[in-house]
Amino acid sequence: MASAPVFNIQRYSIHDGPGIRTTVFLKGCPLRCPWCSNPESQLAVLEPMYDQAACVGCGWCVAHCPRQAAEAGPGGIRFRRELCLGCTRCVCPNGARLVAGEYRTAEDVGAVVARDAVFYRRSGGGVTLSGGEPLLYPDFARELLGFCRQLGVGTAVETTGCVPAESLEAVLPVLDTVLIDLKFADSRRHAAALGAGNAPVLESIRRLARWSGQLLVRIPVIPGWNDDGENLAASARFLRECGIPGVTLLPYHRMGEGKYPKLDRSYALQVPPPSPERMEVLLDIFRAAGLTAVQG
Amino acid sequence: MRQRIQNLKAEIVNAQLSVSAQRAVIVTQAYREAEGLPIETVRARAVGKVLRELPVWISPDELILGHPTEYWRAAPIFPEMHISWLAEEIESLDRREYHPFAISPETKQALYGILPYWQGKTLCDAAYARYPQEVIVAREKSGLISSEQNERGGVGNFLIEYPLVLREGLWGMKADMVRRRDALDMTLPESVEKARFYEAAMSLCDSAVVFAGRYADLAEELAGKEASPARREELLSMAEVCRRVPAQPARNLHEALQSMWFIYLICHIETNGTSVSFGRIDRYLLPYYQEMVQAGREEDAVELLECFMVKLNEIVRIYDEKSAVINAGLPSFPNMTIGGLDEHGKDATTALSYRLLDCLMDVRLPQIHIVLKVHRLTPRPLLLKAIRSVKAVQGMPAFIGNSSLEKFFLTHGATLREARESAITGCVIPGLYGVWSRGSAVYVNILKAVELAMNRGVDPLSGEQAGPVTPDPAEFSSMEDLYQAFLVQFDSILRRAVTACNILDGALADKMPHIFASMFVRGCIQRGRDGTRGGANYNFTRIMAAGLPNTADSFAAIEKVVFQDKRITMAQLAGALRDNFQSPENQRIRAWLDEAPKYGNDNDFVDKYAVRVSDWFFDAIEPFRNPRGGPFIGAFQTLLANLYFGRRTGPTPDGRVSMDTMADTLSPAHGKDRTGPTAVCASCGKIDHNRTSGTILNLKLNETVLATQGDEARLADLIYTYLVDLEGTHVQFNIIDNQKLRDAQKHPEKYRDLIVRVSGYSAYFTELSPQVQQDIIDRSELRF
Repeated sequence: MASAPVFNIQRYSIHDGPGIRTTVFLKGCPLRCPWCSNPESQLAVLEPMYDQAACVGCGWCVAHCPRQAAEAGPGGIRFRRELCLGCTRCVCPNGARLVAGEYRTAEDVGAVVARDAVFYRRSGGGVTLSGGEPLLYPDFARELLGFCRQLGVGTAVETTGCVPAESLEAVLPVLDTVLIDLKFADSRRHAAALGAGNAPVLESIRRLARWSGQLLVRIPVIPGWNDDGENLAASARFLRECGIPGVTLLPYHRMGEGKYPKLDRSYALQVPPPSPERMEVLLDIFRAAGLTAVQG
Repeated sequence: MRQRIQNLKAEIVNAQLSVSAQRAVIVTQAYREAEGLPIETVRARAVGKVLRELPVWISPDELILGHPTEYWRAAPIFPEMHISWLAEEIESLDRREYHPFAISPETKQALYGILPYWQGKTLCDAAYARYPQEVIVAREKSGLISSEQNERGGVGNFLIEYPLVLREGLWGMKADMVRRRDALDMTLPESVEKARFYEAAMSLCDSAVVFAGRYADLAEELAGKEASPARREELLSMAEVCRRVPAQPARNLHEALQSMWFIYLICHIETNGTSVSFGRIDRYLLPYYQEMVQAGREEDAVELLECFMVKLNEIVRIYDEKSAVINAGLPSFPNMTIGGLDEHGKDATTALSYRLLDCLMDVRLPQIHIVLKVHRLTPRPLLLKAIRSVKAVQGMPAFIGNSSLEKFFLTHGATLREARESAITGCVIPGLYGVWSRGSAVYVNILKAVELAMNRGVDPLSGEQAGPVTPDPAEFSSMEDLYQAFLVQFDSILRRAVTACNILDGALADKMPHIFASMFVRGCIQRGRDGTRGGANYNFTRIMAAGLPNTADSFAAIEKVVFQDKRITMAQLAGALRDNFQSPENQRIRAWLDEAPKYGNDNDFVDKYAVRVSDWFFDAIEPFRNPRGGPFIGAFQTLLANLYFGRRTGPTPDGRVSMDTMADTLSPAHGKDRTGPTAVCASCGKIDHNRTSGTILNLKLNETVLATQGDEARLADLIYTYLVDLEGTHVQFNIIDNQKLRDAQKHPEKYRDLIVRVSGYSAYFTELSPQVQQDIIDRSELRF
């Protein structure tokens, strides 16, 4: 029975595929996008999170940490992240200390997904596996999605595409929809910005273009990073070559910013979201290349 | 929207709430003159006198005529029901916190003048004199029940059988009553009372026609002085309409709406009951509407409909300060039901169903209450249009499940055909022509039963022994021990609620027969008996239970923290409650209780208690009978009794602190649903909706979750699933505006469940960084 680190299960997801969906977020990602809105999804290990605003200074974490990673001091509670085992003993009733991620079996998650079956049936929705990179756990994904299939629940994954070909192949037979991001058409720029080249991503997209299921290619638009004409025109060319008819552009947002301090990280990106006028200009680049382009 | 509607709307919006003494003075005079006569006669004379003497006036833009008082938005006083409160509050009316009312020195003087006459004579006085001590304790001292509404105002909560009115007119109905009276065998003892009812009702038909005639006279008079030829034409045509209806059948849309308004208005002049409702308006008005459309006068039809909708906002009720809290917004709930099935079980949507939603979006005033009855054949475009209206008009219409409504009536002896034709009265109350439901009879506080079970029946806030003595909670060794003590307390609360309702039923029958209203409730004319005395075909008394979510949460928290995890003992829990979770140790206990599973997240660990308590509630009340020969029916509904009861309930085991508000109706306790709307629907849907006579489920959404057509489609799916597949009773949506978002920034703990959409993603608002929160607030403000 396969299991994977789950950091969130979100019901009534209405923007991650068709219909009303339940999105299962898995931890662990091969890429390090500076704009990542789920920074706790990047590492595959369980991570402590600390919400200073919710902390009432009760000392629960200090008393319960077996390695004394939490220390009460004059300026409040100090936490030495490097000592953390991820044991969750510090998780407090006030919700100030959390641990992101919990290993759960496909069966267990499937039971949660199945609870909304009546809503999927009515809306044509289903389950979306997201992350992080859900295809880092192909056995888990295959088992969970296969189970959902048997219930008649629609299946989708939201992937970076930055995975070995066999991982993708393993889940395609139990998938209805794939959502995949193309961040940079050029591998060097991809590597420079995200920490890994794009060869596996392009390979995944090529493979999916020949696949019989529903494919949705999306490009997050990050001003100053990938919104130049060169990148977008090259992306459009690549999609055309693959025979992919359309693309969705996702304007940059700062939804994840609040999570960074909880991980003792700072949010490095300081760019404004693209204006609606700018988005129109960028959509036109794709339309000029003969693709249908919409904003998501 | 035409200028006329804007002008009329401005009159309503800009009018200051005020008090009118006119009705009160006329009624008092009539009662003095009629002393010693049978009550039916007194009522007919008093209401008749009001209809003959109330000032009539016509505003420059009006097309539908008839006002309840001499100014816009002035509240009439009903001294025959309850007036002693005015003696105490009259001087502070204009500066109280909730809904202050302006009151002129003349009005004050007039009201002071009649106060002595009514001492000891009102409906309220009669009821009070009859209540036993245990009802007084339950109601006045300990906040176990609240049944004031029907003793301070009329019963309301019925559907006017408009198809009958429009087809027969009052003369047709009167002719029927003449025949019935003449056919009475006066040697039978019951015939005397029947004859009295018919005489009173027939005299009110006459008075109603006189009232309409006074408006016709005035319209003609004004037409004579009118300079504008167009307005003169309108005035003359209105005069003609008011000469014809409500006496005779309505021949066109103008006559139909004018007739409907007169009947509705006079029901409100007779008594001030809320929730007098219009039923399946998109069906019975359709022929009139279509006729105008075919004549190329669709715009004029819309204008008339909108005039009518604005009119509904003229009914203003004044409450004493305490009741004004429960009835914030002073709702009169003039419900119009659209959609649903026809008598053959086919979709009943008409062109007018859509058109009424347009009018609603145009007019945007609070007292236009539309519900859409949803079933498996409801056209998707109608549902989507309703969702767009929800966005535009802050949550209106509400959505009602056809299936559970039908099953409710089938359970209570209706035919399938009748059940299909059911509508809603008020907010969510099941209605048919012929139902006298006492729809807002009594609220009961379930959570208080938990509190009493934790305190051996003593109410800690008042110190009263408010319930039976149950065992010391420290001795409870299982959930079952606690649950049994809870049932003993709950049963005692319910019995007192039933007692209070039945006593008031008697007082209503003696002091406040609803003669005029009863003519439009099927069965009353046939039986020659008014609604308060059991004349209607269906006689319910409706108990509205408040606090179920907190009750389930309380049980789940105790099961988890005390009996499963064994973190604390029952004695420690009782101590923490006594301390209102103040000490550091008790704060920690509160955090554990708070952490336990909460209703609204589709978690059976807690939802099982909601199901168990609600099943027991229905089992317990259904055997009780009211004096009209009908059963008690149960509902989960609070309006704002959750605030009222909340203030009268101490700390509870769900982690709720003393006097804090409790969950509104069947919605999860504030901020406790963290799993999204499908989970809320699933939790709520576990309760047996086919047995309820109405529930309310409020879902909070930020407008950003409804930004695109795709979002609207998903919400439509959610509504279909909840109401059709899960057979839910009711759902409505609160669209959270920026003011609330700002409040959520300050008090995130109250808004944990608030979902917002930014761009392609949805998130819990309180989890976003302050900057992003501000971003969302700023951006949505731009759209307004």
